[in-house]
Amino acid sequence: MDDERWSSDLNLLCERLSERLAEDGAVHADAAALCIAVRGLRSTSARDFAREVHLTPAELARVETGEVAWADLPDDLLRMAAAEPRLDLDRLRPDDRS
Amino acid sequence: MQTAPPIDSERVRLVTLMAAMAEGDQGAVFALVAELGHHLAGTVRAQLRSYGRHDLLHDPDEVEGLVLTAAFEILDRAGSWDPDGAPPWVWARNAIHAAVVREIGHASVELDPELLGEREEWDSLDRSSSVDELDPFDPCGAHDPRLRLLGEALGATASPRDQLVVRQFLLQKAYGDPSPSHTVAADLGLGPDNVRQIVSRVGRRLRELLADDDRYRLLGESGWLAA
Repeated sequence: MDDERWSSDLNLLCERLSERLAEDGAVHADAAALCIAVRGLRSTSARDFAREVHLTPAELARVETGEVAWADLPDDLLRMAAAEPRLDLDRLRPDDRS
Repeated sequence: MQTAPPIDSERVRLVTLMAAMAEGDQGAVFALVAELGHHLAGTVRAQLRSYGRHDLLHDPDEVEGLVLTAAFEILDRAGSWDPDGAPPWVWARNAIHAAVVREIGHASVELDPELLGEREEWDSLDRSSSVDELDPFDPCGAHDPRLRLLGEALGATASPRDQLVVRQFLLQKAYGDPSPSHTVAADLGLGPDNVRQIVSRVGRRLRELLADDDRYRLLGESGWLAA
């Protein structure tokens, strides 16, 4: 594939970010990375994205720093993730749903 | 009357993303990779080619992983990027190079920090930023006979510090950096004028060597030493 037609695997980027967050001590790095990926791919500021997923900015910050488990992610966020064709929730979801 | 050049929408987007990353927004790295990843892929491919790692060039998974490595290198340095300077994949080339070498090693010379530590003459340089641990113009590791010749010629005409400056300068130019003197100066803790002076001085000596010694004819044909 030439460079102009390059297409990156954003699931892999999400997994790599999750590893970095975990190394930095995030407890729920998978959930944090997913949230950051969805927001990043929508190019939305944290403040606007918090409103879209019906969280306060402080609650969104807790998600993005890995303090919120995957099972506790807002439904709106999971719906957005499922609707993002470049992300594969089945691949990114942690096995233990933690 | 001159008209203003059209605003480069990609550049505007890049500046926005880099500003977001500089403020700690890791989400912006997803947009960077999704929208501008082909530039990162170009940098990674060029580096793999320069190492002679054609085996990895043809392995999409390897290139993919290295593109993401490059993206994280840019994310981690976004706060230092100058929006008026070279694009980040050029500006951070040395950091990307070092990260790539850390991941893949080198075709001919594995990274050996002990060995690098013995190059005492480099100690006078500020190596706290992103100086390459290895560079493709290193004659020890070069596959291209012209690179080996360049290494020999540099060894015959310049101090170890000046060799490093010239190698970095030529490599930066090869990657399309519009301001190689500034980039190399920042990497090595020198002034841009100092870099230009070193490159000019060594270039003059190299051209004299080429004129006097037929062994370096191939190097003269490379065009690398064009004034």
